[in-house]
Amino acid sequence: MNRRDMIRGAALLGLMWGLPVMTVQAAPAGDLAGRLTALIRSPASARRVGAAYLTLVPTESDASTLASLIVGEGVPPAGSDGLRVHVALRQRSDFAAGRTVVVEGWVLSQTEARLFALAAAGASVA
Amino acid sequence: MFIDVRNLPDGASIDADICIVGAGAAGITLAMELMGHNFRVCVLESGGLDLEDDIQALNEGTCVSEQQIDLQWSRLRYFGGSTGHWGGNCAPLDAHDFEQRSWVPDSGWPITRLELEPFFPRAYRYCELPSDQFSPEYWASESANFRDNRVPVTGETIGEKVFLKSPPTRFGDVYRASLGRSDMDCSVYLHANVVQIETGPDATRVEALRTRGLDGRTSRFTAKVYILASGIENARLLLLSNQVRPNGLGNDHDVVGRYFMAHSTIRTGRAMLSTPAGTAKLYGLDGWASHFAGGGGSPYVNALQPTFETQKREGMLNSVVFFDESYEGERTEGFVALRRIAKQVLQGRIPAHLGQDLATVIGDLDEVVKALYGRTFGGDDYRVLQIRYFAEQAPNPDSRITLSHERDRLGLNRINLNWCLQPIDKHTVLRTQQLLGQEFGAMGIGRIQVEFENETDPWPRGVDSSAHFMGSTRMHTDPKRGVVNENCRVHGIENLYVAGGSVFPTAGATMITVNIVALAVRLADHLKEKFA
Repeated sequence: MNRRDMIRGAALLGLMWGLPVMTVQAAPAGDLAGRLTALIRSPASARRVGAAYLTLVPTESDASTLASLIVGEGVPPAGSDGLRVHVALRQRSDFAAGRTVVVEGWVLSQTEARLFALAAAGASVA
Repeated sequence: MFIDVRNLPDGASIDADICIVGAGAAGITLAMELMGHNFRVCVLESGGLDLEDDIQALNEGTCVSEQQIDLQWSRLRYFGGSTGHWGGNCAPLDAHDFEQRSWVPDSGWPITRLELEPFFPRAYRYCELPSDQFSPEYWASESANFRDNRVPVTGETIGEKVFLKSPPTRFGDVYRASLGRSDMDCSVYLHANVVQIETGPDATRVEALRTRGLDGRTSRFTAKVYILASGIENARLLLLSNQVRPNGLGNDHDVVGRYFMAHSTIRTGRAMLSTPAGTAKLYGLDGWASHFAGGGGSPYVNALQPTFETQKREGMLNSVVFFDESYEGERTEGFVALRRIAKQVLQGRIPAHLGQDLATVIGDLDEVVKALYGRTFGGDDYRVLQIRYFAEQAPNPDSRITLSHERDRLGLNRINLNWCLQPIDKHTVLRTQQLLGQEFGAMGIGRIQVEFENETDPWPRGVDSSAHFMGSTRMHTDPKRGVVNENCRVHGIENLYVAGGSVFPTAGATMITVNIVALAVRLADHLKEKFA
């Protein structure tokens, strides 16, 4: 990974500890996969990392399955802020429970890896 | 008083009460503690007051393991020993380092940290530490620098370990005047290379030490008590002294030379953290200048450390994590070569491969410049930190010092070293990095990137020993499992003791000098009581 990739990675990962920042336009409501990918700040980087995840876990290449796994059981919160907080909490909970996966060397929570995979799986990204 | 044995007549005989072999941290501490207590103390130092190439060449040996150690230059053979180039970071071993751990074969000391505790205050003074406080909470309350740049961790999985900075104390410089006093009944013999430990016919008592100079002249030193304080040369000397016991002294059970340990130190992977600019310096061994250097430096370095509960749960060894500022290019051949040159120059040496290294730097100039540029003008929104893992090595009987067939200028067999790491050593680094990644993610402060992730992966390039050499004459109450007993006396030999890192049964995850000094103080007190 060169410095440019590193910086792209930094932009991508900014999502995960810079959640209050809103940098993309929200996707149309009702499309869970689209709403989730709209949370991503650096879609190109997300697709790259997500594609790497999908080669590790090819069984999760379906967008709706990924979306369900990302938000977990129950009704996903309405509104982009609510969804962002929900995903962030699931990320942290993954880390605390050791539910991590190594993708391109990054130690990621399962939730965020799936979020990037969702971008790579072809969901609409704002 | 200093005496150069080159000025003594060939075959000179010198008598003392206590004879110490080696004038490094352990040997000098022992001499300082013992002199003035009605003992005639003599210290035998292989080198002189300054480094000399032909003496230093006596360190040469063969390292046959995959992970290499520079036997010639990782230790210094002159008055003051390897304190002449140590980094100065100090922290006592952790209490659990002394415990027997079910998941770490051959772990456990015959003494506890509590028993060693009374000797640390004097050790801190010998190392000129600015404080005796190692609690992160203490420094967080005392120092805004510490508080503001601290990485938030839960303390449940990952905790902290504080290291205090010695100036660093160059024992040869600081204690030279004291040991040179003519009224203290302490004599330091320079250029006194011990080549043989003489015993009686049953090898239960040492009768004398023989020295030989590069000029061929010999001397004989007799004493009531002998202490080997020469680092890994301790094992070599015991193995070489095989005139009565074919396997060497103290080696009836084939333990001498075994269980050699170092700290597996490796810079691998990176952390991206949304932390203040000072974080890399707070957690960096090469970070803030020591406060001794003036200019507002800091007296401490902080490190992240998997807690003992975590180590137990994960079946891992002790480890700590430091950070360095990192930018692309730092791992290129050019930058590594540049570092190598700088390190050697700092040690006062002419770089061994200057031409080759310079060619590498010049050939790789773009990347080197990029790295330096990055270091100077790095962005402020996040920190890219290189991660330095510093891990305990598990005791391993196959990690060992033996005698090579090659001989040095004194005719002695050189050291043959097999620094042998085991799966648990790699597991420790891998789990530490994984846990670190989880902790940073759970705390919402960042992520880490790893460069190796599977236990089946080979070790990355550049695993270093930190020149922290331990084991090879380990402490154990059972002669079948150790070379010295709990008082550092060689099993089966009534008047031969060993001091220094070679007696450590386990390595912990800390810098060793202050612990060596504490053990030396303890040994001195023991001898004062026993032989007064």
